[in-house]
Parts: sequence; C-alpha cells; structure tokens
Amino acid sequence: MRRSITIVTLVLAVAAAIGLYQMSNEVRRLERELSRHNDVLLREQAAIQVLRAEWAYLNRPEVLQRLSQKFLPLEALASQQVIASLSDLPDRGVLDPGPGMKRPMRRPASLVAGYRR
Amino acid sequence: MNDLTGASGQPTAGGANRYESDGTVALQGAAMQSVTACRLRVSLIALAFGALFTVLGARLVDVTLINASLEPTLARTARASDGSAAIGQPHMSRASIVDRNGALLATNINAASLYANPSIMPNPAEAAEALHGILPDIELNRLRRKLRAKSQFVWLKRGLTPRQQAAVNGLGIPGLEFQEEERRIYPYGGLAAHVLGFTSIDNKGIAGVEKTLDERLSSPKSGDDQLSLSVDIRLQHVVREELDEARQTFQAIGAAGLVLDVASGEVLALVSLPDFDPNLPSDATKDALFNRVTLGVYEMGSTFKTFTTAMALDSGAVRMTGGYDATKPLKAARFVIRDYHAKRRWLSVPEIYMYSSNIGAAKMAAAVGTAGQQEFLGRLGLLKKPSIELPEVSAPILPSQWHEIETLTIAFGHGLSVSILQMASAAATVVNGGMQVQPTLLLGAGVNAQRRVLDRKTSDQVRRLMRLVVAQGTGRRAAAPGYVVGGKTGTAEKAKAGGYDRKALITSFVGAFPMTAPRYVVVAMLDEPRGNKKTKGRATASLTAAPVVGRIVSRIAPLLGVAPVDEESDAVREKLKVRINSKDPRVATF
Repeated sequence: MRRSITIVTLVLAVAAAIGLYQMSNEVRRLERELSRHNDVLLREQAAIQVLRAEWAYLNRPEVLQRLSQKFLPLEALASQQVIASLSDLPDRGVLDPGPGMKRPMRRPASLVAGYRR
Repeated sequence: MNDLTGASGQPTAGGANRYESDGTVALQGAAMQSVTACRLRVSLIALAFGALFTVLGARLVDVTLINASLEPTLARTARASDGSAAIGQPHMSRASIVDRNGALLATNINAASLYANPSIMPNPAEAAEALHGILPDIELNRLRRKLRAKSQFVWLKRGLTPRQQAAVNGLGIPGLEFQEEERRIYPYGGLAAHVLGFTSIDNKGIAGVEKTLDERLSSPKSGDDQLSLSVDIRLQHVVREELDEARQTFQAIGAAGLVLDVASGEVLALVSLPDFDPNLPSDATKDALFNRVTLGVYEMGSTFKTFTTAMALDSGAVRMTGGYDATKPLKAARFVIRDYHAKRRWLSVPEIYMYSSNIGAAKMAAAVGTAGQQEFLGRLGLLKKPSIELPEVSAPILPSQWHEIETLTIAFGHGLSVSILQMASAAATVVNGGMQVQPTLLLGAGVNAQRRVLDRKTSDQVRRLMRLVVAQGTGRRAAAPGYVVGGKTGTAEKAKAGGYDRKALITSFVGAFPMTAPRYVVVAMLDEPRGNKKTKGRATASLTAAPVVGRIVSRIAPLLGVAPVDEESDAVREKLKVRINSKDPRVATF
C-alpha cells in the first residue's frame, strides 16, 4: 500500500515536471512569437503614421484647389446656386390642384438673392 | 492521542508506553511531549502552505476572472522586443494635433538618422558618390571627407525621409547605419503656423499651442491620444489666401484675419501674415514669428465706434432716433476732432455710425462719461489681457491717464491699443445678443457664455447699424450676396514718435454674418497698405480690408453651412430696418 502510494507520487511528480517543462517551453515559444508579431505591428503602425502625415500633406487645401482649377470645370459656389431648403425649389406645377386653383409661382429666395445685385 | 501509526508510533526510549488491546499505543511522558511538538510543527507548516496556496488561488481568480475585462487589447500591449513602452498607435512621445474635422496638423513620425562607420567601409569614395545621388543637399566633398575619416562614427544626416532611408538601404554598403529618432512634422506647412507654433529639436513646444499645451501634449494619455483644435483647416486656407492676395495688391507689410464663432467663442481661423513654416522654424524671420492677431496691439480707429455706439445705446445716454450736432469740429484741450467724411450738420445715431463721424462718436462718449466708458469697455473685455491657448498674447495698452480728452479719442479708436483677438471677441459679444464671449482654440472647450454684459435690445440695434454700413455705408465692398454681412470699417494712422504717421495705416474691417442672427465674426486687418492705381492711391479700410471680408464670407459660408437668404426679402428687411431719422431730406429710411 505504502509502496504503491510512493510510486504513484513519483510518477505524478515526473509527469508534472515534464508537463511543466513542456508548458514553459511552449510559453517561451509563444512569447517569442508575440514579440515578433508586436515588432511587425510596431513597424506597421509607424508606417501608418507616416502615411497619415503624407495623406494630410497631399491633401493641403492649396494643392486641392490647384488641381481642381486645372482638371475640373468647377468654380467657387455662388449663393444663388445653393438650395438650402425645399421651399427654395421653384414650383414646377406638377401637382395641378385643379382648374381655377392655380398655385402662384413662388420665387425661391436664394435663387433670387444673387441676381439682384 | 490514539491513532498514531508508523514511525511516530514506535515506542521511544524513556517513556512507559501503554499498549492497548486494539494494537495502538498510548504515549506518555517524554514521548508524548515530542509527538505533541511534532504535530504542532506539522500543523504550522500546513497552515503556512495553506495560506500561500490561498494567496495563489486568489491571485489566479484575480488575474483570470476579475482583471480579465481590464486586460488591454493586443495592440495596446504590444511591446517592442527591446521592452520599450506600451503601444496603441505607434508609441510616440508627443500627441498629435488635429483640426476640428480631424485633419492632421502636427504629428510625430519615426525618422531615421544616418551615420557611418568609415573603418569598415570597403570603398569610401564610391559610397560618397552613391550617397550624394540620394542626399544631394550634402556636398560631395564633405561626404568624401567624412567617409575617409579614421573614426568609427560620423553623423551624415539627421531625419531622413522614409524614401531616402529605403534608397540608402538599397545601396547595401556596409558601414552605413541608421538611428531611429522621433521628429515633429506639420503636414500643412505654414497654413496654421501661428496657431500651432513649433517645437525644438528635442520635441519641446516653444511657441503657439505647442508651448501652451506642452504638458498635455508631451504626456499622451494613451496611444491614439490626440488634441483637437477648434480651427478648420479649410477656413484657415481661405482666410490666408484672401489676406495674402490683399497684402500683395496693397503692398502691406502684414495682414491678420480671424473667424470666431459668436456663441461658443471657438476660433475657426486665425491667420497672421507673414507667417513661417513650423517644419523649419529656424528659417523664420522675427517679423514672420510675430502674431499680429494676438500679440500685436493697435489703435483700431473707427471700428471702435461699434462699441461707443453700443455703450451710448446701452447706457441710455442716447436713443436710436437721437443724434448730435456735427457742424463744427470739436475742440477739446489742445486737440481738434474732425470728421473724415464731414457732413457739417446735425447727425442721427445711425448717421454717425454710417458716416463714421468722429465728432458724433466723441459726443456720444462724452454723454456717457469717463467712468461709464471705462466700465463698459471693461465689461467687453477690452481693458485686460485676453485669455486664449497661446503664449503670444499681449495686454492692451491703456492711456497713461484717462480723462475727458482720452474719453473722446477712445470713442473713435485712438488712445487705446487692443489686439485683433480682443476686437473680435468684443464684437462677438455685441452681435450675439450681449453674452460674454471667451475665445478658445480647443474644440468643445467653448462654453456658451451665460454672463450677460449687454442688453439684448442694444445688440439688436447695433446689428441693424452694422448691416446699414455694409448695405449703404463705407462697408459696401464687404457684401457677400445672400449672407447678409454687417460690419464696420476702421482706418487708423499708426502712432509714431510725436504724433501719427499719415502714410502708415492700419485698416481693418470687423464684420459678422448673417446679420439676421449672427453666427460668425470675421475680422480682417492690413498693416500699412498702400493705395494703387485702381483705388486712385487711397488705402482706406473700405477699399482694402472690407473687400477681403466680403470674399472670405462668400467662400466660407457654404463650408459653415450658413443658408443664403434673399437679402431683399421682406422678412430680412424688416429684421434689419433702421429709421435713420436724418435732418437731410435726401436720406430716406433704409
């Protein structure tokens, strides 16, 4: 009885030692892997930071303005081009309210604004 | 006392043990004592181990269950293999600065610095030539000399761009090494120079927001920490471009511009020209580093009449329909106060403001009195150093003595020097309904001020007057169709030793829009503009500063989401109607 307990204990101890060794080995391997991944991550993050700065640099308003003037047929927005609300839209009379009920054509405020000057 | 088995159960010498019938032994005497001591020791050890295992168990629960949710995510715990600090964004020692829309205004990037170890370099002459191809800003002879040196370490260039670094790496020359360093860069260059300031080579803030908020910036809370400013880089560009154009047209030595949210006090654009590139602060001249918006104080001239009129109306010294006699120049002490656009008749309050009458403004101030004027200007924050997140801020220059004559001249903007920033915040207070404005450069820091310093009715009246100036007064060129601009021009001669310099002017326009319910104050100032052929040699504010504000407003209003209205519509006209009450029959009600 006593001997068997001793043997079982010994076997368990050896098994635990082997297990522990395996485990710590595995942990060390994983840690190396983690640090490798982290190094890559750091490099990528630094690269992203550089790209963010470059993106901002390439998007300087004066550059965009120059490019837009060169390649796009666009001009600065005039106030009479802005339709700020639905009521600014001219009434096209699509919904005919019926004979004798002609809706008055309303002048859109912002459309008129610029032409007055 | 029984149940003892094994070794400890063996009879010990010197004790008269009793053998019981069931085979156990009852110990007595010395044996009994030693067994008791032994049991005590065993239980002590068991207790100690028990305590230790309890601690371990508790720690296990703590680590796996309790702290699990607080565990940082992987990106945050990332550590370089050299064990340097935790990372979310790349671990930068200084936080980035972004504008109100998140555009990156200032950031740190890793930049490699190149050094060489000439002792292991196989062919220095060839290496020098190859390097010169990549780094043309270093002279070939200097490179040759450095690489031929007998040392083991020579710096070749600090702060390479990633492209240069890749190219140098591509050469594959042994003996060329890199040292990683952090470098502060400003992608927008000089666009927000006077807001941002700059840092030293050791990344310490030494001007602008970089200095004021140095502590906050140099200890980033987490990896992706960044500081959001209230400025909008698009507005900054518009204001800078328009000011620069006007500066060139009128050959001014400087210019300044400011866009301020009248409710929150947030600065949306702050431009001072000439400016500098914060990436290369050592190249900047002293004049370029001078912030004309916050550090420069000027006698602003007629724009001050806005405050004088508000003061007279607010104190009840005069009503909108009232007025003063401006027939003759006003004599006070040894000074004579004249009008630039003299009408030589009785002028109503709207006329005094519209024609910018010095005599009328002086009489308004006289009616309020010196104490009343000091109290009122103090309420608007014009008499003490303004606070904003910049180190370059000047206190106003008050007259050495403030008697009746100073009261009269300050009424039309002479004798008291204030900064553009103060002008803008005081104007914002006047037009926003009378609530005190605290200017700020931080996004979200603007509190809608709750302190009333001006009657709502006064604010409404001054709005009408400011609109009148743009509709048919000196500020006509500041009009931006659809956006109902209002404002006041100011042309002041610069003070110099012993008087004023007639040739050196400060021209300014303090405007706001839309006047029906003002949301933004726009200020433009030109320092010593000169007239040209187109203006027939004149350089008054109505010709120089007012058009700048008009162009700025028509470009920024769509960006700010201000809806254009029909300025001639009944609703707008009713809201801004002024009864001019002129004694001159030719001037009708506007």
